[in-house]
Amino acid sequence: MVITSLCRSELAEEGLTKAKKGNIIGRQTLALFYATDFADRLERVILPALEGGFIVLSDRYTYTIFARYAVRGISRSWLRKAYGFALIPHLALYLDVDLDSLVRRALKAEKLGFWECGMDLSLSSNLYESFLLYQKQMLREFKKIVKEYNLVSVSSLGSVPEVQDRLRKKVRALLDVKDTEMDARESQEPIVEGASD
Amino acid sequence: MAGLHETHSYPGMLIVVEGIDGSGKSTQLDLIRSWLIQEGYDVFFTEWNSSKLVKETTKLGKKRQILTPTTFCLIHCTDFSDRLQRTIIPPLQAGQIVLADRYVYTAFGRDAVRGVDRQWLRDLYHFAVRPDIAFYFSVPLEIAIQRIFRGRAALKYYEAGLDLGLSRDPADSFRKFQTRIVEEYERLVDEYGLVAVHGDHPIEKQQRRIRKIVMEHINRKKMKSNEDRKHEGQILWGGYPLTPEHRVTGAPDRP
Repeated sequence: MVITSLCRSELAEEGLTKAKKGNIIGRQTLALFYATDFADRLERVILPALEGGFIVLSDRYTYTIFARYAVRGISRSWLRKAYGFALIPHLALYLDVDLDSLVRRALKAEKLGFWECGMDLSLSSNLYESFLLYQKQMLREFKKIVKEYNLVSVSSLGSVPEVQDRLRKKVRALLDVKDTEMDARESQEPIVEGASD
Repeated sequence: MAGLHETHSYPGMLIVVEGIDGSGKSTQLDLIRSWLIQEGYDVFFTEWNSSKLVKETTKLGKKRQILTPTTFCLIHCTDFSDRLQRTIIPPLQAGQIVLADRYVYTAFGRDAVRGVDRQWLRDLYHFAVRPDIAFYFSVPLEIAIQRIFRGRAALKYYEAGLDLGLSRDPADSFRKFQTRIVEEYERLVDEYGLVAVHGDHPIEKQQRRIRKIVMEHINRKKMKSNEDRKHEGQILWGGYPLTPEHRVTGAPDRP
């Protein structure tokens, strides 16, 4: 199994992290920088792992970028074309949460940072208000994306084991399908005479 | 986003030069720059792959030789986007002249040779501003190669197109790589209406022709030199026309 997540590529992690710090980078440029990061991970981590028969777990995918930058006024169709080289995942899980629960979780985890609050959008000078306004837009955008790409929505309400249980069911279902496919393929393979002693 | 097929609506003017290495484009652009400054225009200059924000990442990728055709393309597009927003569009908005040494056509040529889908490239760069004039310097390959080898000790990995696996010998690979790029450029001349210039003609002859074309555009667009602006009584501050409300309170008048 291989795990990958945004801004973790050998090529772009450092440059992207640095560029984000000063808040001087344009939105479109940032969306492209993330595309570079994504492409590097796709071609040098995800694809080789898939070819080797591994399961790849990706913490966020192109959908996050689509939502973040659509909210920031970047053309939706351009974003989709720019990321047109991405692979369609076998399973894309969307952890559904309402704004109220999201706020409480973010407060508990002390996650009201500049980007999480969408402060670059100048929605409000107040951190908390900005967080609410920004996340509301993000949830709305994600809802559209869930429909557009048939993401599998899983409620993230409840305890960690409860949510985990829901997720495992979805993953298990996919693995079963894959196993059946594999069995079918193996049974169809011709037996080569003399191939084994 | 007006795109590359629509004329931009900024008051400024964007002039770009394209061509393979050794085609003489940078020499000609330098001459244009000095001439326009002499004529009293404020000129802004930008070159391919020079965004301060992105450069380090490109360098890292090249040094470790980890760039694939896709990431090579995307990192250059990131670089271009940063320069477009930061150094190209603002002067155009202010009615100034911007000179660009290489533009999106470089990506269309190089990346297509590396096997990147042509339509995807055009979609990706859709946000680019269409230049007012784009010169393409065509030159026989042998002349370009002679010029390159005269001024350089060794060819770099990606510059020679060694990542394409055309040849193990850098010089041979470079030749094959450039030949393919020229083929791509030839298509772009028609597709985007690039103005072809013979890069092997005497420097002065090329320059005369280029200046004539640039001047026609300047006149047609009624671009104003600093002298024109002074006559019209516009206040100049650092070369930019500033209305009183834009000026810092108490700032002294420019002599």
